[in-house]
Amino acid sequence: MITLNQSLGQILHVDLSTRQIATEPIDVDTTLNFIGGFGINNKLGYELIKPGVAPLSPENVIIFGGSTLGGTLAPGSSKIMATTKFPANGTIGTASGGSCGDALKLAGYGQVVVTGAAEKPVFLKIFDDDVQICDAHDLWGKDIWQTVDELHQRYGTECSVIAIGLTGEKLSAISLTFANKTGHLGRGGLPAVMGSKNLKALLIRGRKGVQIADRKGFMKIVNSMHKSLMNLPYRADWLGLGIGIGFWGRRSEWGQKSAADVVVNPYGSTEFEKAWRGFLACPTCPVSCKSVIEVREGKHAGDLVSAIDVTLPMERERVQRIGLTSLHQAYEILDLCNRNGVDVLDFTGLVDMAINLYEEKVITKGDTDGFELKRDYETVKKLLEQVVHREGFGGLLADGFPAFAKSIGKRAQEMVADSTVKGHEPILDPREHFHTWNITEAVNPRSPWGQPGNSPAFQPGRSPKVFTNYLRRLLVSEDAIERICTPLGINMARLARYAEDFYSLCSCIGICVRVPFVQCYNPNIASQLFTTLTGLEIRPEDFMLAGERSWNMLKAINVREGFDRKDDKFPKRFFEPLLIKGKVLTLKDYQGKQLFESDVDTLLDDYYDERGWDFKRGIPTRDKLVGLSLGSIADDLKRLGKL
Amino acid sequence: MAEYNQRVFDILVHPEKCVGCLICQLRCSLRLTNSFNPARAAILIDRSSNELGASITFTDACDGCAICARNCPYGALELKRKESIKNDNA
Repeated sequence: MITLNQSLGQILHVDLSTRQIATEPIDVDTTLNFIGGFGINNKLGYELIKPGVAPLSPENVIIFGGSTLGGTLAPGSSKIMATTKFPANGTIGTASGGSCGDALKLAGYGQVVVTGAAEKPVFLKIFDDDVQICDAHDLWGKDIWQTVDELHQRYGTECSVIAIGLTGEKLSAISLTFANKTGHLGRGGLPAVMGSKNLKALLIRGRKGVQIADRKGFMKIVNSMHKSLMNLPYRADWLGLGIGIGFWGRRSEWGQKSAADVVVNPYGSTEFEKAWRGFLACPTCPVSCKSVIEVREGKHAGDLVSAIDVTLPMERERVQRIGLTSLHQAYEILDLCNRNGVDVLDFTGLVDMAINLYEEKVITKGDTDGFELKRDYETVKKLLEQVVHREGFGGLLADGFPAFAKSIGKRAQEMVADSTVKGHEPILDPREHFHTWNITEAVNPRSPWGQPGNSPAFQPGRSPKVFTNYLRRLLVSEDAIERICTPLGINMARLARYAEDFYSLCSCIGICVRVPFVQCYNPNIASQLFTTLTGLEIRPEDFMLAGERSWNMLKAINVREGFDRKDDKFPKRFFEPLLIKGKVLTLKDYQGKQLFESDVDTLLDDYYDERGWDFKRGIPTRDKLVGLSLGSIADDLKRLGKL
Repeated sequence: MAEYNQRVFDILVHPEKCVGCLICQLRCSLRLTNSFNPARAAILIDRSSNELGASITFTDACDGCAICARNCPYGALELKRKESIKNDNA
């Protein structure tokens, strides 16, 4: 008989102000209700992040959650999730990325809760029971890559590292960091929160190991999943092109001939092939989605960069939009963003907006110290340097969209209002292809981040049967399936609710949500892995319920912060025509029917209705929270006048 | 695949193909310790992220079972019939 501590780990509490370190076991009820990872992070977030706390104050809390299945051979199970109140927009959310979540589990921890602030720069060393707050004065000022390399040199590459760069130290709202230089922890400014606590890095080495209740049962499932992943029909393309392969299915729409054409155009496949050096995988992943690319120009020529971003068509369009005309320029800028910890999504959007303002003469050379803002490499590089060092005009961009707009004035504020949701630009443009991702970007409690909305609708033209099968696999009721798969077509808003719940479940057990894993995991398999790992029995339907409960908990924390339906929206620009590749695109639904603002309002009504929420306010009802065994949360929100 | 027989097979190591998934270490540790603990595996992967390939070494605890090679998804570890056996069979 093994204990939960042996299979799931404990909660580690570290107060950087008092330097107190303590551990707390995770109880069975909490485990069965929230599973782990994202779920327990949200529960602790509600309990520990006080309402209205300033994101960059010592009172803010960071909860690093490891993967519930982490440290084992469960495929794709190395995710780390960091929950905090974000400086970019004041929401409470979770930045997550592949890698490090396994190391935390192997060290014996499910969660690490960091509170307070250190007086001087420190890094947190977690070597099993040996947990120390260590001096980091000689690491302060180093970029992310230098910090990781230095810590690896001192302690060995067996260690996992989450380090912040200059942007984190300088408290930038568009800062980003990495788990082991591999998985992004972005959107919202987590590194700035670490920087405000003088926390340069987490260094984790796990040698305790993970005990397993039913080895044979666990490995039978793992072996079957491993075989499925190795035999994926698209594995060969996926290894070379990563998640760009997802766009392959849209080749007919775009008139492309192959996955390679879609992903490497328009820079040209030859240029891509010259720069491509190999694969990079997170622990336990047999279907690597990241390429290692060589930077071939600039100060860091010869550097190898993990390039999931620029290989994506959507990212490609972003860097083109700001005037980078060659693949090498794009990789050089990406490398600089990665090293210094700049969120490339926010950065490219802000640069584009700044240039638009300059072209409209709202911003002049007087504002930029005589520097002309153009869509070219020199402008991008100059602004990036200023963002990193937080100086000059570019330094204003480091504060993120809302703060930048406020510093410029009315026209910039109009632009931000017309193009962002909760202070960030949506990642995908629904005028190109409308699907569940777009709904999730509008309603995600933390900010537009569509991954929770991944579903078969990512590819156009899927038959109703595909959706019916997908929903049955997620144990969705036949009544709900009827509401989603209607004679008029697929209701993306109602579908989004179940995609989010499944994403939430995957994040609770700590597995990757890339397509191959979402396809090979389901509530049945996930619950069997959980039971054979821990010895705790749980029904698959209760597993899905834990996913829904955890998503509602995330919503509840943000309702407590004052967010509601007024913050969930499609930006106005989505209702204007988009000229792309010589075509004029307008907002249409999955079936191709034109959508107007009133239609999107109706879709949001549908989304809240499917969630069982109050659709006028876009927040959970008391009945819904009580039904999810979150009655105490309902009471608390009522007491605060939020429900 | 048939059970590995070290009299018949060698494990060929292609460190440049290693992408750092650590599946070999986890498989090995489960067999040796009945728990997941890569630090106690008989195969050790030394790899810094964002670099290509890895240093792959075997400790004295390695008994040549080849569970690592049989489960490497990226071809960094390969089972190969020994030349002498090939010659014998010929």
